[in-house]
Amino acid sequence: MSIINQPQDLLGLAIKNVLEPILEDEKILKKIEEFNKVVVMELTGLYPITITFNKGLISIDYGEKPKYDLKLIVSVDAFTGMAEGKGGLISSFLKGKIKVKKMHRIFTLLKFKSIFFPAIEKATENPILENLHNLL
Amino acid sequence: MTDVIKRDIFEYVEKETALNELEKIFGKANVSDKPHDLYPYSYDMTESPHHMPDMIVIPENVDQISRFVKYCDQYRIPIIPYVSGNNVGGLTIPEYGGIMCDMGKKMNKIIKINESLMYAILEPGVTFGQLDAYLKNHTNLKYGLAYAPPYASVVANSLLSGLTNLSCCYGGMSDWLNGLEAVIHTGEVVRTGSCFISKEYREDNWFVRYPIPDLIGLFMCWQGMTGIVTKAAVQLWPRKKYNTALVAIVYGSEACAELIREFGRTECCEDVSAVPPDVVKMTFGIEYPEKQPEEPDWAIIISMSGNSEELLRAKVNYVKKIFEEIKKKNNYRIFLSNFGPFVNVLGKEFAIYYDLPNIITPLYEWDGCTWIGSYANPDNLGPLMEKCYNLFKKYEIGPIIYMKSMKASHYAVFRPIVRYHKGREEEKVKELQHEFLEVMLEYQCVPYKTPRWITEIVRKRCDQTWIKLLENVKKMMDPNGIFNPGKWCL
Repeated sequence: MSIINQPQDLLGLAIKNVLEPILEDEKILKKIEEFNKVVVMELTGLYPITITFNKGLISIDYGEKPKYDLKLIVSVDAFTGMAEGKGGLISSFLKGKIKVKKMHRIFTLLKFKSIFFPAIEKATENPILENLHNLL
Repeated sequence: MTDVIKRDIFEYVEKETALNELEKIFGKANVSDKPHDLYPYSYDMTESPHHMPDMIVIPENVDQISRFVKYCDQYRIPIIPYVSGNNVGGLTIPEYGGIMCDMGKKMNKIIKINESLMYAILEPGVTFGQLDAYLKNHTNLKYGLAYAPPYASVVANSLLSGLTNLSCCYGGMSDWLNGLEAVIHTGEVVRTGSCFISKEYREDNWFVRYPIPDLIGLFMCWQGMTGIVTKAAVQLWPRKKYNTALVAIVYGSEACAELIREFGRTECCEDVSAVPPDVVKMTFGIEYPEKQPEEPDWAIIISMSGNSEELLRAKVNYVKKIFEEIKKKNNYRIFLSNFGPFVNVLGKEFAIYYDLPNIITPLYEWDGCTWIGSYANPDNLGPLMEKCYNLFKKYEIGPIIYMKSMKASHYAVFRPIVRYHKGREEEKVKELQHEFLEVMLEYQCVPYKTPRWITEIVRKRCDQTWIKLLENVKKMMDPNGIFNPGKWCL
């Protein structure tokens, strides 16, 4: 069970860095194994990446693959909010900071949330630069 | 061009006699002419030609250096001052042979911290890491931190006008020198700055550099060609309680140049530094990063501090206001965020660009690394970035470009950095470096820490009156040509 490629862009590297630590958690691993979906994540104004979950293997690629199951368009504010441990996926969605394409696949969205959120929470629980105030 | 005599350094005294004399001065254990001891001093990480020294001495006090210099001057033996081994541009490679004076090993004491007047008196071997740790543990003061490794010398970097993470406020490190002590060619010990007052009248008077004639300039940026600096008083700054950092994600070189300049002019920022995202990718082990089509071109890291959260917040808000105005006016594709969250998701590899002192891994993980550092005209950063980035691509070398606003953007630093594999990429790197230099000189850059090949080119473009003055000063300070000969082609 692993991330099978080295992303070549910074957002991809960030997502890889966030996902890797949870690959040691058996509960999450089970969810990943059952989640055979293609998710596109785009930072508004920047660019998209595609996260492909396939039988427990994950690849992260630059750009948007056409046949995705779910697409999240995340504002930079919402992304940094999550990375700061402040904003949740649903609350950001309700505030319009995250837009979802193929929204009708609500179970896909919830399953992705159950994988991605523990990961981002883990990344933010012990800030690396703990003396830094985030004032924006 | 000044004639440099290729000489037999032991023309005026037998090597054995000199060795015996130096052993009397420094003690037998602190002098060596053994090849295995000399070899580490014969090269640096740049493409500069290697050359073995003839001896090495390890001093532990000024008196020893005074006797040593007097002896070498008498017999015209070259002396090369050396501190931490983190040299670039061949500045401590003994291109004509001579004796390495390694002050890093035993002259590494923090002599005094004056908390009230905010300065430290340091020996040349004191490192950034050492000073930072001491100040953190014992005072509420701080010194700037360079992007050099923690083991780099504070005094050597000050003398070469290095830059730190406080340079956006306070300029280059040479501006922070209150005074220094140096041994001149006669062996006499001279003090400049307010410490020029005779000890009979006043001990320890190192708090200011002016308004006397600025003789510190006789040693500043001279690359060790005018004397051996044995002590320096450096200014310290209050360590503020609240800190923050922002990151601007930028598309387009002109936008990046404008933001660097204008952030600097806010006078709210301690540091405004920019790199292409490729550099961060190298930190993740991607050797030759490819920029993806829609990836941003530059990232600017802005650090700020304040004694209260309100003050810091006001600074952040002002920087944000300037950012928004620039974005709106030019319709630039730019984004401003807190830096901390990006570190959380990108990891410790990204934190090193803020959390100094640190080793910026892409610069040191290969055996070769070289750069042309320059003080640059902030108005020219746009074309400089564009042209130098394209040169990196032309030569298929991972682009590392480092820029910084200096002293509220009175000037900037522009530095294309090349990491490479020694032995198999040197010729390519030399060609690239020459192309960089052409571009940088075209856009008014003033190179610093100049290796010999750069000074040869720069000298041809210099006003000849300036060269004449330079040569006359050198002759006055070093009539027998013993101090680090060959630098600046002198």
